[in-house]
Amino acid sequence: MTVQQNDNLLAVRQRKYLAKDFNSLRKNLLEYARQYYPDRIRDFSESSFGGLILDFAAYVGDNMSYYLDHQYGELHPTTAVESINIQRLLNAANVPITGASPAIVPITVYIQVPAATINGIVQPDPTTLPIVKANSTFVATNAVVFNLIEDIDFSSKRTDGSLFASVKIGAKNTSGTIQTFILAYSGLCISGFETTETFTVGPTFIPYNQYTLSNSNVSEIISVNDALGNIYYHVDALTNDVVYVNVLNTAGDNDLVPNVIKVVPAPYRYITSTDLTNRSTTMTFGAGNAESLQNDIIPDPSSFAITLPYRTTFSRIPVNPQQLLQTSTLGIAAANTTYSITYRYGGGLSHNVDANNINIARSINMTFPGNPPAAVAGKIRSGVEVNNTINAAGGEDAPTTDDLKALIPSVTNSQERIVTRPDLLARVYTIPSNFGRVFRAAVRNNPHNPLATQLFIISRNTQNQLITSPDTLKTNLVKYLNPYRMISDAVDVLDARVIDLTFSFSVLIDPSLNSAVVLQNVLTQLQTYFDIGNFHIDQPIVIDTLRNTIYQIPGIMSINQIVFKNITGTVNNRTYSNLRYDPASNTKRGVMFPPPGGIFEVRYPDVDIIAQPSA
Amino acid sequence: MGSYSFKSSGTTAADTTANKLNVTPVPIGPTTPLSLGNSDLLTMTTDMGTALADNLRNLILTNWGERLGFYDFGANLRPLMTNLVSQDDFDSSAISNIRNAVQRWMPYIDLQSFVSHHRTQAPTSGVAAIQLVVTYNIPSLNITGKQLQVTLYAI
Repeated sequence: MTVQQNDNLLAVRQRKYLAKDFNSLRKNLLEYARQYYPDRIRDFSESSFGGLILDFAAYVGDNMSYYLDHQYGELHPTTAVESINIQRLLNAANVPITGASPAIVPITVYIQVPAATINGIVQPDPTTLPIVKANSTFVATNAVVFNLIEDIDFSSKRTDGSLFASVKIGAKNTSGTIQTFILAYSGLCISGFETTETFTVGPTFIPYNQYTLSNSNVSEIISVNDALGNIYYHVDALTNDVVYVNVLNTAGDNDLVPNVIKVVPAPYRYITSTDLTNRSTTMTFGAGNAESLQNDIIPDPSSFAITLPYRTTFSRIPVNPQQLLQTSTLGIAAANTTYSITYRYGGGLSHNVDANNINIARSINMTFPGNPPAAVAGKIRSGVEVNNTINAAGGEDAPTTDDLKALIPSVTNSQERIVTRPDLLARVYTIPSNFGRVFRAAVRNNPHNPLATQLFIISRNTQNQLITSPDTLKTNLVKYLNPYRMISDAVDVLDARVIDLTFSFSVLIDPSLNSAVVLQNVLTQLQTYFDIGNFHIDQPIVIDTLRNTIYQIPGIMSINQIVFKNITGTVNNRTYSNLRYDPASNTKRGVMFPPPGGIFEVRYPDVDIIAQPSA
Repeated sequence: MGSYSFKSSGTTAADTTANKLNVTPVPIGPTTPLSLGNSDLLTMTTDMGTALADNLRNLILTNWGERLGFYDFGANLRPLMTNLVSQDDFDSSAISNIRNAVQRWMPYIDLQSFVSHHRTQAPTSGVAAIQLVVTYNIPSLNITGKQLQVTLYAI
């Protein structure tokens, strides 16, 4: 066997594969020719024809080597240089190619409305309170246009019946009677321009039809409709057949959760891609023919078979793949219609205008649900003033190619699914705020089910106190997390257990100092310590840290006593959690532990932190 | 009569001739212009003097930029032919170019003399031509006084 292998080796002409550049390739070729063709040609000097042939071969090898290196480099984002390849790598890594970003700023709209006396109370006439509709536009001093993206309803009220809008007295007559009120209400605005483009689709259906929008730096495609009334939804991939729509929450918890997630089927859908070089946006519509799919909800499988004319025997029925592609699997699109695409574009650092620089109302779309007289409505409309009390923020120039390339590793690592606990927490905390906001979340193993995870969540109210997360938020959360969840995993969404505590302590204070001032300083420091923003679910309290906090206050000579007590139910009209908890039995080695999924809270710091000087 | 040992009998002249190997000269390189050969694919030079003469002729006829990989290969005489009429010192420029090219690419050739003359007969192609005759030695091969004649056409 060994002899045979040696014979095989001898039969192979030895080649060297290490040469990559012109000189080394020429050198190796020269050695090869001299070794294997000494009786055929001997003159390989530069001035000879043999040298010319060597140069040709080395030149070709050098070129191939260069392009091999080049193409290999194009496979990796850090070494790729060609725009088209960088774009492919970005797309493969799911890095969104974006243009310039618009700025966002709340703009306050001021109106002056007549006063009316209702039930003996002088107040803004409710019939004259308008709604400033979304898409109203305002202009900054540097000519950047801002679009209102939400309705401003001046008649909206809190649960106590007061207006959300801030109300100030406007004009009075000579007798001092209030004639008008000035109302101010803020609405979120986004910079850039909004436009609508139409694309005419011919009678012949074209799968994956593409249209490129004429403006670059598109920040948002607001709506896509066709002349037949179909609504097209933007999806991440054409295989996604549902979208999540936020609808107004009409339940009692709508002050905490303004919107509800609704799952909407999206048979008409499209994806977008942005060109790296000119940041123009191209829309790709589905592959299914709406015309052919309207007839049968479930298509007839036999229609996919290719007919077999002139044959009486066959082994397998061949299937026409073109027909299969026209199913609704990858979305459907209509032919012989006109697409109407409304989108927003433009942005950049220049859109981050300073405060008090947006003062011009370019177009105000205002409605009056109370149907006041036209003269009154006209006067209110003409008297509108606007202002931005804070700087606009969020405007960014388009990220450079290098910026986008730098995102590839992180985006690749953060998969579009929940695998680890941080993945789950990241998804919980990044739920859009209009679906409710989780204040704290924690993940624990389910002791009864190894495939399940317990997710404890808690929210807080406007008084900065912990409250049980509303059911609507949990429902939204479940729908939001579901697409990211692996099929075999289960997530139990549970309420975190709130342990309300009172904290009392006695300290010895330096007699040369004012004890009341020292105690007040201690209380202030402890209120900061017990601020709920500093606590997480499952976070213990280290007693010595508390002691250290107290000792940091000048004038404290010693701490005589520190006592935690659990407080529950309703005490002096203060409502606490109903969870009972024994601090003493749960304190080990100077650390007080909450129960699983529990979070400590000093709910009313003004009264629940009790200090007293030692006698 | 004598006494001979078989060991000292040797071989006869006839035997030597009969067994004489038919030695084929080893090809050095293809001649230019390329042409089909009899025994090889191309006609090949078999002596070094002819091969170097062929190389020298190619060197003189090559202009800069024509040789792949070596931009400055060649005597680069074509630029001199573009303004042949107005140029008084064609000979000195051509000699300089040829000498520099030979020193750079064929330093083993010892240039001796250079003669140029306009072609006397009427040009059949309608352009003027200059014939160059270069006399050279190749000391390492003991070749002396060899001449090379090339014809250059005005552009």
